[in-house]
Amino acid sequence: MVDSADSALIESTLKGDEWAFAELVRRYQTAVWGTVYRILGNSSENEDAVQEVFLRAFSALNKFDLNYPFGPWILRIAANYCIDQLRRKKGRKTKLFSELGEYDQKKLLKDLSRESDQGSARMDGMEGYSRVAHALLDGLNPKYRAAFVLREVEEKAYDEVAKILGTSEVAARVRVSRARTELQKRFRAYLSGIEKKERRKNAHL
Amino acid sequence: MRTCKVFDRYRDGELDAAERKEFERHLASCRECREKAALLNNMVGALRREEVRPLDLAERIARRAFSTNASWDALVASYLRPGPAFAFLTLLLVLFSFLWVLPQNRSIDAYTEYQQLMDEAEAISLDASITEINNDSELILWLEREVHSR
Repeated sequence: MVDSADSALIESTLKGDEWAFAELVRRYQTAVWGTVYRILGNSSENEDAVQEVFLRAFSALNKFDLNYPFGPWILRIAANYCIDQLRRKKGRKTKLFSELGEYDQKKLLKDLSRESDQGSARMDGMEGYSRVAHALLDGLNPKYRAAFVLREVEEKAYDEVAKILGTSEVAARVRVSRARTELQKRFRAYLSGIEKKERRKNAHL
Repeated sequence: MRTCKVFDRYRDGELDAAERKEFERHLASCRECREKAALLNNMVGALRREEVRPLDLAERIARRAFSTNASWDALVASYLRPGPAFAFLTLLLVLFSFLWVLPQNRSIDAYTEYQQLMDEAEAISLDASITEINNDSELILWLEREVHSR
């Protein structure tokens, strides 16, 4: 059920009340920002994306069923929009090696695949970790990436992930599982790439 | 190896106590699963810690939603997408080819020329004598006279 106040805001918006729509945006913009940011990565287009998501919701608002909650509906629009955007700029991928220029790449990647209990050491690598994480996510199929972000980072239950992505719960599980496997595969490919490069360098010396 | 398949259910916290114990024993001996678990933990930890700093866009979005410009923009943009743009171009091409082909099919016959000349005569002089033409031979005679008189 929609929050009773939500449904009132939606009804007022449909009657032409601009303030009501602004209030509705204010309630959900943080959630939309989070989803957009995590699926698209940190990009200068995030602001436009958030705006576009709400404008799409606005033009489809008369089709929204007030018997359902508004949150998953708006996040579904956000996820679809992001997946669409990622498909469009397929060519643009973050280059992991250039991204990590200033780090001890091998150490960073090795640490990343190791469970450590030293909190301080991990905080040190956080910035590097998130860069690797974004680069690895960039290589994923947009559908898998969206499912992974919603489940793992935003900690949503599978039925909610399925609702947002407009698919079945089983499909959502499959996507998350494939994303996990794919991330490990990509991670290994990067690591072995670095090791090969290192061996070549050592051979030259 | 079979135990590796439980990885997702372990990660999602869906195993019961006994199953979890068994999987944890498996983790100690399976490098693959251990690496995957650590990688995901560290990755997700870093992603969750990232600060998302949302801007307050509420008023701006509402204003845009209610201004007619927004929908006009969207309409134009929607036609500029590859699909509709292609359809539109095809339609134009078909239309133009019709316009191109039609006049060529319509050969200019004597009657048409007669009509044109009559129109011209009407336009130039109001008291142009209108010749009655009943058959082809009269028409040809009339045309010849017209051509010579010009």
